[in-house]
Amino acid sequence: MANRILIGNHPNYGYGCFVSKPGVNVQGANIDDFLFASTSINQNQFLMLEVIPLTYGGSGTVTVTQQYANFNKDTQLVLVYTSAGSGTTAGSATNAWVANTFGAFGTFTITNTKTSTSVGTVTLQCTAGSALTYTPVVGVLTLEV
Amino acid sequence: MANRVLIGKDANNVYCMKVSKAGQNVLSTDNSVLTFNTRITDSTSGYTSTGGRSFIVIQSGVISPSSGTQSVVYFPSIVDNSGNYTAPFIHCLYEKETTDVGAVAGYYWGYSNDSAGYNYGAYLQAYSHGFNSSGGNWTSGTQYGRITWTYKNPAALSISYYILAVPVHE
Repeated sequence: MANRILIGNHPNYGYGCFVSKPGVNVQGANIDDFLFASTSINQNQFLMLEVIPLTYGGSGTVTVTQQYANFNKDTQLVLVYTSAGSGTTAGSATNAWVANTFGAFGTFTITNTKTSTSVGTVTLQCTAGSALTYTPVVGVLTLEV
Repeated sequence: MANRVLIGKDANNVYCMKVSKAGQNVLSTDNSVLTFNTRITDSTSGYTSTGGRSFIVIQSGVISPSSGTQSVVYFPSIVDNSGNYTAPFIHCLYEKETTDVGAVAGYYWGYSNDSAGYNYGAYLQAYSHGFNSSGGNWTSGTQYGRITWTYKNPAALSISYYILAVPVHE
């Protein structure tokens, strides 16, 4: 079994905490073989990842906001992708998500603001599109950009 | 040299693992210096805290498309503690005929085959569950989800994909 976790002085990358892929000796691993390396310039952790519903009537502008704990991060990477609108069904008794193709139905603007050193605010605004309850997934990662 | 990795008690006497940015002291009480923190919690109204989870790669591979056909990949379904199935986030790298490589994030998923979103060179559909490991209808045992790439012009030479589990809450 390979040694996969190293906390200390890595022969190639110096002091840190390193975790390698299964079957790869962490001491001989290169960057591509790491699951985790504390020497990375950043790590990806979600500060928030949530469905933010927005009901659009087919005209005008509708805005919804969601606050989150930002851990004093500056401008972070925001990830947006789609899930079910109320007009679709999961096709199952359980909650599998069904997509609405985001751009095909509505025009959205996503804004992420550092409200304070502890609070961030995501603003989702729809300015055009079909009358529908949209449910995009909005994620905020710790990755500062 | 700054202390950059903490495994143990932090300044608040709480057990944790933290990693700081290069040149920053991990013992700082300023969270902005951290690149990794096992103590990310959030009690903000309106959603469930992710607890600082990250993308988890559950499967990866390379498929070779042929224009006008489909490729299919199955993966073990992702189910939460409430028994809800979640569709994964899919990240693809499309190698085009010109040998350019473009990163395209998969953005379409669902259980029913009702519509499609176009990616570069192909569109993909992801089904969260309902299959067995060989693609038949699930009846018992481990459920599998399915990803289907349907190829459009311009045809791609190969597509590398990652299937990522993400902590989405409805």
